[in-house]
Amino acid sequence: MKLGSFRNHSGNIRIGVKVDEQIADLTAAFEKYLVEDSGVDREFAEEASNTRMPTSMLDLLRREEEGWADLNTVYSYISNIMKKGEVLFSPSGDKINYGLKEVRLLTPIPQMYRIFNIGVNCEAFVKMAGVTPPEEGYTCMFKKTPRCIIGPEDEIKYPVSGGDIESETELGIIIGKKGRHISQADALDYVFGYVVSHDLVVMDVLSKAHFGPGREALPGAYYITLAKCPDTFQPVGPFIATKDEIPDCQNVDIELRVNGEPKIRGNTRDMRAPVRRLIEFLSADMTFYPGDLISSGGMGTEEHAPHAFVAPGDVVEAEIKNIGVLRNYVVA
Amino acid sequence: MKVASFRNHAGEVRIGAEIEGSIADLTAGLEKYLVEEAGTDPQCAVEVASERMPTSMLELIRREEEGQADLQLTAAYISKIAGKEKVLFSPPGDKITYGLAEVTLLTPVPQMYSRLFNMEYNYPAYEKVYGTIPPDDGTTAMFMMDPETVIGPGADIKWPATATEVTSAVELGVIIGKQGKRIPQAKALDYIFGYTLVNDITGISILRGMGPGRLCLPKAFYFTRAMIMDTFQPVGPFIALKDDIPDPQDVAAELRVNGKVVSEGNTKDMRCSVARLIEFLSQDITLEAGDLVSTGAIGTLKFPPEASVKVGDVIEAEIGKIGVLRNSIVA
Repeated sequence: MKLGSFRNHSGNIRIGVKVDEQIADLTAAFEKYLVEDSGVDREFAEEASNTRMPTSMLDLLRREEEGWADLNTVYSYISNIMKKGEVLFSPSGDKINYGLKEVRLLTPIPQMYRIFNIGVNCEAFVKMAGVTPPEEGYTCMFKKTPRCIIGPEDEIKYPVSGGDIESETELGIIIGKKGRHISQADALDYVFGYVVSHDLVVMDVLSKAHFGPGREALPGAYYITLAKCPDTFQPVGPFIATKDEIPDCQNVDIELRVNGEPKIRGNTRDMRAPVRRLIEFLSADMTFYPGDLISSGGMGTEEHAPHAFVAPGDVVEAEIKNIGVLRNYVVA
Repeated sequence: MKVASFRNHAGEVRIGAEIEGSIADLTAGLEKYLVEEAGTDPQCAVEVASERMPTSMLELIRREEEGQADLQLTAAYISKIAGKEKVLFSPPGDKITYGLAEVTLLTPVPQMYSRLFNMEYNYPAYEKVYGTIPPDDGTTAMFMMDPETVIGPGADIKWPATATEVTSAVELGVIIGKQGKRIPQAKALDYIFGYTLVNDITGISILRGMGPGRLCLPKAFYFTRAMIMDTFQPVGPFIALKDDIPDPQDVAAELRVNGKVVSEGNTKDMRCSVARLIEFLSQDITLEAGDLVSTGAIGTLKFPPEASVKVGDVIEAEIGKIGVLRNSIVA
């Protein structure tokens, strides 16, 4: 399933699932399912669907296994009855299916508040930055603010603190289950799905302060969070591909195009610390909650380095095949 | 005025102000004011009070100036009538005044779903005592903590699995009261709601290997991870509104472990003042009402900012105008 959050024609935020070139409103579809397939009284169906298939993606994820079961039920129901050119409505009159162009896709979890970004997680990055890498099995982690997160087609606002703005393209992992002390063997059980995560940085905030080849990392490393956290500096989307869509998260191609030209290319097989290890490493003393995002580090190769320079006026497209294209505009 | 969040006898989370040694439930207090002083119909008063004086501290702070005005009005009213009756009740019968021992104080902003910005190396003692490379002039190190790591007064700090040495440090916490970006130093204090205490706990062994003349990488990659462990950020017990602390650059703080003073200092020694920190941080990051900016571990040459702690220790962080934040470390 590809799940998204969107704003419908009346301006309300809803959650949806992609079915071919349409998007089905999951809450409205679940109400229809309850009445027509499950025999629930119409009077109760609207309330039950709001509780079991809430319009907030974060609330749905917080239902963990139960939410997942309901999602599968409603998806198999609605994808069977949806046809092109036919508009379905819920018993209480909410429109269910929309053409993809009729709605405004938002970042999949607009209520996201915990964002963990990984740095220096492939050899190409180590070479490009000329830094001493994290020890084997370890990784660089810093947090981003909820205000960094924007959705597809949103604008990336150029900052004032520096002029060397660089993009990284990453596989984002959405946590689906609360957990702590998670072992590598169990780690993927805690994954709900994957998103495209586009991580921007004001590079001169770091490098002006002597972060780089042949230099001591301090004080530059003091500013990692600051350099990464300007408002709008992390587009996330366009969909969450549930984990069954990406059976091997260590073999995912990633591309970033600036004005149509491929600048970054990489594959998640090059991760120094793979997804399972990231979850184990970070959860050793910190609890993960449903809806958390781990952005697993900029990928790249020697030919297509993990960093791409962007400037006002640029159109940037981050793409992961099984998830979609995340397009954003850099504005002054 | 000092405000707090607390759990009352019925187990509900409420907001309160410390008035004459008692905790006054502000939402219930405003209800009483509305009915008895403002002539509001008792039926409407409950709803109006819960909107103007919500039981969530974050929601109150997000009302910005209007919320602060309602806070002053409610507290003034309760102080006025507190002399007459010992225990006050709102018109529908909610208890207003509690003895401090009757309630459980929580961290003042339990709904801190916004952001926590922890500033580091903001006192010269770091450079002098530990040989730490200082941030550039006018700047400081900053890492974001997490709402889920915050605990309140009396709650236990859990010893981590991945660190062998843990330190504690006392910091002045600034609670932002108004949304803003690119805030100039001259106006920075207008954006403050109040001040609280932060006990910044760090799994310091994860960072060991950083120091004078050594390569700082890769250890510097682990700053956030060393600090973001569950329960590693006690905050509280009160927020002293900014009127209570007219000069944030003259605040004495102390940290005690098992009753013995281990760190001590004054905010006058900050490398970047509170006003400068707000300016520095807000260049490209919008600050929001309810955000916490923790201004760096306080210390001097004699009482340095980082104190080693172990399982069984009782840690007390204290700032006179805010209170004592006491927490124990458990295995």
